[in-house]
Amino acid sequence: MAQEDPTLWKIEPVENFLYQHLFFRGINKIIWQYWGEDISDIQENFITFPRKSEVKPDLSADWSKFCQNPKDTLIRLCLTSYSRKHKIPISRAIQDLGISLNTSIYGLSIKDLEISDDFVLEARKKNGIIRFQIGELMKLIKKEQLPIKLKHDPIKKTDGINLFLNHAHSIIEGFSRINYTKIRSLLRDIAKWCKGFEPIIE
Amino acid sequence: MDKMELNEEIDYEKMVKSDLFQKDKSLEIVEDPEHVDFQKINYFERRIKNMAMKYKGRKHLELESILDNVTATILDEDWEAQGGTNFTKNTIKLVKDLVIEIMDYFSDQRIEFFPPKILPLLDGSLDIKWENNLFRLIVNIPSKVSQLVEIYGDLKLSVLEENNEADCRIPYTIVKVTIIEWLKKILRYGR
Repeated sequence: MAQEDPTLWKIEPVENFLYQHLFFRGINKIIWQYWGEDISDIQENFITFPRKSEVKPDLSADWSKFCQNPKDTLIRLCLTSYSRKHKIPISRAIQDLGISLNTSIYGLSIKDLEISDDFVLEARKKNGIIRFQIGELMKLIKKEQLPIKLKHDPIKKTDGINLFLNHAHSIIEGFSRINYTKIRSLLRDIAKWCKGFEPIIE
Repeated sequence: MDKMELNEEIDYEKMVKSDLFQKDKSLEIVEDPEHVDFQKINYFERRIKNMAMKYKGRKHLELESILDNVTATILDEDWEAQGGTNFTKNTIKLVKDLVIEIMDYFSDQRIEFFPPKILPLLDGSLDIKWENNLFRLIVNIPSKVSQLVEIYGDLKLSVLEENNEADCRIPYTIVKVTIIEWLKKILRYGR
């Protein structure tokens, strides 16, 4: 009997979030530009939700099981920010930013893009990537009895031209207006910049 | 000697001869009390008062500049692209008033305190954050008047057995009193 490949599972159960795994999350310049001269000290507004998502604010992150390099998170963030800012599909953003595709398949993921080092350096001027160690996160949830949960939530999203895949996408859910400030304060204490993916201040 | 009001006429001769003046080392600006240059003292006193007022004014200006810097985000197109809501004039005013009142309170009490960081959030609310190696206090001023202010504060010293965590949602009108009471309690540990 052929062995089942777990990377093909649509959604993974919570117990598969292992202690040593990481969650990566991008932080845009619009947030860290007000932190002062020393941005190594992460501030509590690194978790912030637009008003429209007040109903169910979930914190998106990339799970290191399927995204072993924070570079993927950085590039993804760049593309979505650019497409949102210019109100264009992601496929168009890829073209505009001069990124080459090394595949012609319909379903695209970050690994299908050819990213230069210069592009990464430019991206770091606008975004930085932080990480949570899942073990620390779970310990915190238990100790403080926080109502938040981790969930694997792979993305398959089309922009009308291409289908974009992010199998690493996961969420921290359970935020509400009532516990918002406490939870982001406690999460800030365990968040760290990913080495080599701290923002570059111009 | 009782605390003197700013406009109160000071009897310097009496003051110099008083026991308090003789014993207080910090006031040893006159070597020979018999030959006091009262004009000089008067001049210094006026200067100190002016400096204190200027200091307060400067602090207010510093705070205003921090807030202006944050609110410049309104003009930043990236803020909108990220789904950010603009800050209302009312939210900015509430933040400014609260910070100035808290800073003035501690300044008047001669308790050493420091200005906070002002951190913007995408939902149009603003965090006022004080943090040092003893404590952290975050006051989230919401974008809508109808919403409650969220406060979270904790101590960094785990050796203290007493639970000093501040975690509440209250109307703006009682935020100042609540914060001051919590800070007074916390700052005692720092002495």
